[in-house]
Amino acid sequence: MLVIAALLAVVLAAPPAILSVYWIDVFTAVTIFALVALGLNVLAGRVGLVSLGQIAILALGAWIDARLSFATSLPFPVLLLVTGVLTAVIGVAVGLPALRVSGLYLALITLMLAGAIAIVLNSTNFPNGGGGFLGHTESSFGNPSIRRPSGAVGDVGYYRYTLIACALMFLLALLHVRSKPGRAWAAIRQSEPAALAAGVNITLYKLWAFALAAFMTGVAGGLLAASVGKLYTYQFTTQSSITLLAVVFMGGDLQPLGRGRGRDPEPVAPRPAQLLGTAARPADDHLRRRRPPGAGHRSPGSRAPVPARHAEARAGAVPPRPERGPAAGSRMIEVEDLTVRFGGVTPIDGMTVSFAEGACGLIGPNGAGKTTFFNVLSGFVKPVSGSVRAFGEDLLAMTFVALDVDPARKVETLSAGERRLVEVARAVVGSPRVVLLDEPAAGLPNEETEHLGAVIRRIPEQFGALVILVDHDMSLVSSCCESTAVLDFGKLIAAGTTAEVLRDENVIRAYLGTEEL
Amino acid sequence: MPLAYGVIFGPLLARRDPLVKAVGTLGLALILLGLMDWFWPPKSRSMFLPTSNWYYQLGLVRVTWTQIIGVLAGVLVAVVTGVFLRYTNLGTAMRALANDREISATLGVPVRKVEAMAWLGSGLLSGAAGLLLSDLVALDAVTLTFLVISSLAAALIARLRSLPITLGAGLVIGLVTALMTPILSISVYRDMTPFVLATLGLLWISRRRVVSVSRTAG
Repeated sequence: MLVIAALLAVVLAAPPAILSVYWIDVFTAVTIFALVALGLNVLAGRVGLVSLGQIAILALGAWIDARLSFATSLPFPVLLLVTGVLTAVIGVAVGLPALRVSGLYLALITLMLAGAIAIVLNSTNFPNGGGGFLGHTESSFGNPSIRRPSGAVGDVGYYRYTLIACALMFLLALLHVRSKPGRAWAAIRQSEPAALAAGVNITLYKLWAFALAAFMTGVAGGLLAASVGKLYTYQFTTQSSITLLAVVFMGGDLQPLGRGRGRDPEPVAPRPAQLLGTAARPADDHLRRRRPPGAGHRSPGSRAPVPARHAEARAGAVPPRPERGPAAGSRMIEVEDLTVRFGGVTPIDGMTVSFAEGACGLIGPNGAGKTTFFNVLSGFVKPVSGSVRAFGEDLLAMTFVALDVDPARKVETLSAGERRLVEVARAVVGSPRVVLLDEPAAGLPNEETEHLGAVIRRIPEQFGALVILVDHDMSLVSSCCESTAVLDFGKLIAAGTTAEVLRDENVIRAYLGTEEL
Repeated sequence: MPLAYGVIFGPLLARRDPLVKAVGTLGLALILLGLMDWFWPPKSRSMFLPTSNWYYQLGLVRVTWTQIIGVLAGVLVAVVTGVFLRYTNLGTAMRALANDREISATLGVPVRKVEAMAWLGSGLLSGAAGLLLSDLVALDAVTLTFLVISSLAAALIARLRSLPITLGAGLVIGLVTALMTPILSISVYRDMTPFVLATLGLLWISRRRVVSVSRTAG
């Protein structure tokens, strides 16, 4: 951040001192379009929603700013803010139908939107001080220019103003990316069904992304309107939307600063912090940052989950577990012989402790291992030995599935078998009542299937959940399932204990067919 | 040119998702637009086909042979393409490729040759359409290029799968656009027809898709 601040200071001061007014205008335009690209980066890079209509949104933002500029005497910053908000409303309106389409269809619909808006603007033109709702007059003489901020009327001053506004928008984007919406967007981008299963409100966060992108683009439209003074439709061509997308792709679509992928990897492990409802120290925000959005915690005796934000508000509170499974009644964290080593140091060495219900303190001088202990509880640091149990349940879902990988690794770098274990871990970390496993062993070799079977067998015992397993591997089914039901062409043809069902003639016939002589 | 693009970039784009492929071809469009702008700077140009001299008078409407050829060619191309894809070896190979490139290659389909033929065929058809459109619309690179957006509307309504539906949707879009012309209050917006109908069509087709809403607090 210091480097960025220094760079910003240089860019603020240097160009006006050494460049001509023409180049100052060029840099101003570059800054404005960088802001538009930022909005598209949020949509395409973070959420995976490619929009080819951002230039149309920019035109709308410019239109709104121009109209408000001529019709009101709002201070320029307020004008930008109102323009951004109104454009964000339009962005949400665009986003609503987009909830039903994605990928190529979304890109094409937004391209068509751009074309449609261009046609409307060709007919209505931009406001130029005229009367009526459209604010356009056909007269081309004596029309006022769209005003600039009072302290930045000149080109140099306006360049600096634009740069600062752009920097603030980048900060806004970074704040979003590094907080709850950013994690939700990453989850949605990776897999919508998985995000939905994990409790992410897909609708809310997609619309949030559309609104944020449109807000930034609207602000850019306002800055552009004041920069050029007069607006014309030829400034907003459809091919500019395509060029903009190319710019975003070239810049590295996952990073607002275009640094490319890999700088902020999503951890492999599910968020055990969800089990605890812990909050972090302000200086070390891992736990708060890593809580999955939409995660809830069940209050005792209630079916409705407590919203995550309420759990966060009870700083450090550990919500009681629901009454089920072998851990019913347990209200403690038990740590046994815990050892953590990294970077040549041993921050925790053979720690054994229990925390009873209520508020418990953990104190020690700097470097004693307190934060590391919290990181172990949250699953971000893997111990070399020992165990941690919360309310009788193994705290780390990854430990539950016995997957020995670095939690910071990206899922796509894992083998197929490891990924299946991660998927099972993700399914159970929220302590569901029912776990549905659809051919989890497909494509796995025998050894990994056996390990997976052992994990699946422990789910009811460990989490008190009902498991329904769909698979073609009969050895897996018979090793995991006490009872089995068989469907054939939509009809139930057998149900009962697994051993009986597998001996049923109808079942054998359904799988093997009948031999015709 | 499409053949060269398909031969060089087709295999590179083959394993990418449809959106990336689409953006790749949009990039080609931008390059070609830039080149055309360089070689032929913006200037009013026109192209007049001899068939536009011959026409029929239907009531108050003059229908030129160019327009008739355009409609007939559209129907003919849709029928011939449908027959080609269904009954010929090359057409079957193209459909197999569209379904699953990997399996097609495993089965012995010469994927690169088939892809090249697909690019060549689409290039030929696009060129012929451009020839007719330059007389009907304008001889302008940007106008003709982005006319494809309107035609995409028909393809989108057909979910990029059905030729008869694409043809029908195109005819309906053209009809609605033309019918709006004499209505003065909305005629300036008639060119929006493809976009509006495509958006409505897509939303209608996707109406049964569940909008993803989590029931937990977010």
